[in-house]
Amino acid sequence: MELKIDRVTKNYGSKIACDRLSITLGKGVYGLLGANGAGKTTLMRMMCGILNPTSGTVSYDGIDVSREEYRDILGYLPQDFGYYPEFTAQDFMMYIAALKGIPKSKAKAKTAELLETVSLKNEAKKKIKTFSGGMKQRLGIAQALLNDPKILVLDEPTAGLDPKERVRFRNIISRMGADRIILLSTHIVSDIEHIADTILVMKNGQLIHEGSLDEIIEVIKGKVWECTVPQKIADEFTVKYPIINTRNAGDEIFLRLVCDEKPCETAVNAEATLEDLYLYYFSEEEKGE
Amino acid sequence: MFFTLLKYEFKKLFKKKSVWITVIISALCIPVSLLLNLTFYGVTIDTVRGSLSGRYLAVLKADIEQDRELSGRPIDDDFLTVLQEAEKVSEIGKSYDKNSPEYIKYIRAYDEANSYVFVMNGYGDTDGMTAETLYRTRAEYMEDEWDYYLLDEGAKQYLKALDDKNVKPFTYRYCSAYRVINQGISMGGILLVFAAAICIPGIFIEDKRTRTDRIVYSSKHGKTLVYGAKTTAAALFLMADFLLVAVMSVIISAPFYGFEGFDAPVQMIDPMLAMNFTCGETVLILAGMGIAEAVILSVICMIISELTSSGKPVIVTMFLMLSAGSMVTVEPTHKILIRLWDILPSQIAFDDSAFSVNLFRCFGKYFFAYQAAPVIYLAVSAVLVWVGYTHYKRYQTK
Ligand SMILES: Nc1ncnc2c1ncn2[C@@H]1O[C@H](COP(=O)(O)OP(=O)(O)OP(=O)(O)O)[C@@H](O)[C@H]1O
Ligand SMILES: [Mg+2]
Repeated sequence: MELKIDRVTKNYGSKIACDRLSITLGKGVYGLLGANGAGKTTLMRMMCGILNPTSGTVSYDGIDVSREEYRDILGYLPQDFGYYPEFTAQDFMMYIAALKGIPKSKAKAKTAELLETVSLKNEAKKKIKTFSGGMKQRLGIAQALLNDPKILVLDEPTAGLDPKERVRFRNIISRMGADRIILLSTHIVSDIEHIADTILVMKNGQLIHEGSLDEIIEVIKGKVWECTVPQKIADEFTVKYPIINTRNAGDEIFLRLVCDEKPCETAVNAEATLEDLYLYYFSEEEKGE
Repeated sequence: MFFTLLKYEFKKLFKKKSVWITVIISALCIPVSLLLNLTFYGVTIDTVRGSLSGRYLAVLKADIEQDRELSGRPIDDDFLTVLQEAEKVSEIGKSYDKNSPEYIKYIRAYDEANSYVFVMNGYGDTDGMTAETLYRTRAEYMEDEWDYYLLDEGAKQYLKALDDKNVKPFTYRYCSAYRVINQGISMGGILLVFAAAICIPGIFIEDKRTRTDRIVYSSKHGKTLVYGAKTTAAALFLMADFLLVAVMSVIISAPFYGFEGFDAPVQMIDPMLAMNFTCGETVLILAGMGIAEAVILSVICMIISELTSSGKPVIVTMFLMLSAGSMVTVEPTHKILIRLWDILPSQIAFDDSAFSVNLFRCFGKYFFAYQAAPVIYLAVSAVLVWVGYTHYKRYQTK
């Protein structure tokens, strides 16, 4: 079980959205982390056969992404997609099941099960146009799971979900990750911190990091500092270092920042998190430009 | 699975108001036009006497009865004499109230027959006409038409041989139902063009417009069976829409006109035709043309909306086809173009086109447009469906 992305490139005119990206994914949950415009959606579309790479290939155990066999084992939640507003949730699920070639009786059972899973059981007979954003999103997640996919690609699955549903979603994914390949993108770090076995960090169309949470955090271990300083110094630091958090503390300012060395006498080392790393990478970019 | 997908294509289609409006118009068009026809049915409007509809209907019924009485009489000298007698009465009685019993008995009674003979006589003067001159004039008129359209000798002989098989003198037959149904079918052919322009593009572009495309195209059947389901849905929808018009015209005309004349020769509908089939067969052939038209129109609309991802070019194309077919007359010297005009989808359900004397020649044999069109449509459809498929499966999300 191996999903192979081989030197995949996608250009939009002169814009390189995905730059000779290669990676092989085995069983497990992968969290794809990247800023807006990093190329996550572009990569995922190419993995789902709805966007042809400018060059490079995507294949699963030798089956090319363009084949029906590939699509048969694929579940995809696009980032930005439409529903049939006049359909009920049930209709929609049954239609997608038909698209996926699932026989009717099985589709019915699976639909009921999945709507229950994403807590839309009571809304099954309601038209989608009456749904809230988060409800639609959950329906989108449910449809991706209909065919029990071996490859599950979820583009910002937690967007619009309330905290309770986020937790539910994480649990679903953790349960499923054991025997399939799950790739989910987000820029919300906490969504994948706990469920992704492997974290992929994407920037400017390239993968700049790949590893477990611990491995990745290793990069900034000991470089995260917290300190409380006067406004003037805080301003100075803001220009110099990636700031992760600032908060007023009386007359002074509390700062959490990334720095190779102790930035000032009063600074204390804090435990590094994925979010620190994310901000470190992506603020570096801002500073760099 | 194909049929399930097909079902969903229809489900998506019928979620749209414009589709329902099209269907309702198709269903009501014939009844309404027939009602208008009856309302203004060749009588002076006189509101003093009796209720309007009752009176019009009564006149129509009386006319039909009179016409039925003539049915079965050979169109010979005796027959023509009767008509000419009636004609004389009409000239004396120029000031007759057109609803008066005399008028109805002597003149209106022969209206239908008189106008039939007038057409058969090549729209010429019927004074002093005998059966002999009538059939001669008809033959000459037909030959003139063949000459006008520059038919080759073989075609002329083919048509002549066909007409020779028609028994002369003709027997006058009452067959009004089939005239009305034929008109209904031709009307259905026109309505189809509108239905195609309005309803078909949606099947192919709606998923892209509403961004459901990414789920559809990344699913197992999304790039293969779904295309089949969409093209099939488009064709079936138009076929059903056409049949709705056709069936409505049958249902609506039956109570007024009855069904007599199914086995009457087609010459009772148009005396200048050379073919050997019956009125009933004519109706069935034209209905077949409507079905063929539905298929080719669905494919044309499919390929345009597929290639352009927009409904506007489809509407423009359909509009151009309608205008070209109904307003542009092609000169007989343009031999290919004039035949293309006959098999223009918007025209093929008209008897003028389907039974046109501009025969198609193939392997030394001659074929009428009604025979050539289905074959040509099928071939063109097959190619376009294939082109559409290669385009469809390469689709990329924007
Ligand atoms: N159809 C397109 N035409 C031109 N440029 C595009 C197109 N789609 C994406 N891009 C560009 O490609 C880059 C990557 O876009 P992509 O949508 O993959 O980013 P993303 O990581 O999914 O961002 P987000 O977090 O906002 O969803 C962006 O710079 C974007 O402007
Ligand atoms: Mg994206």
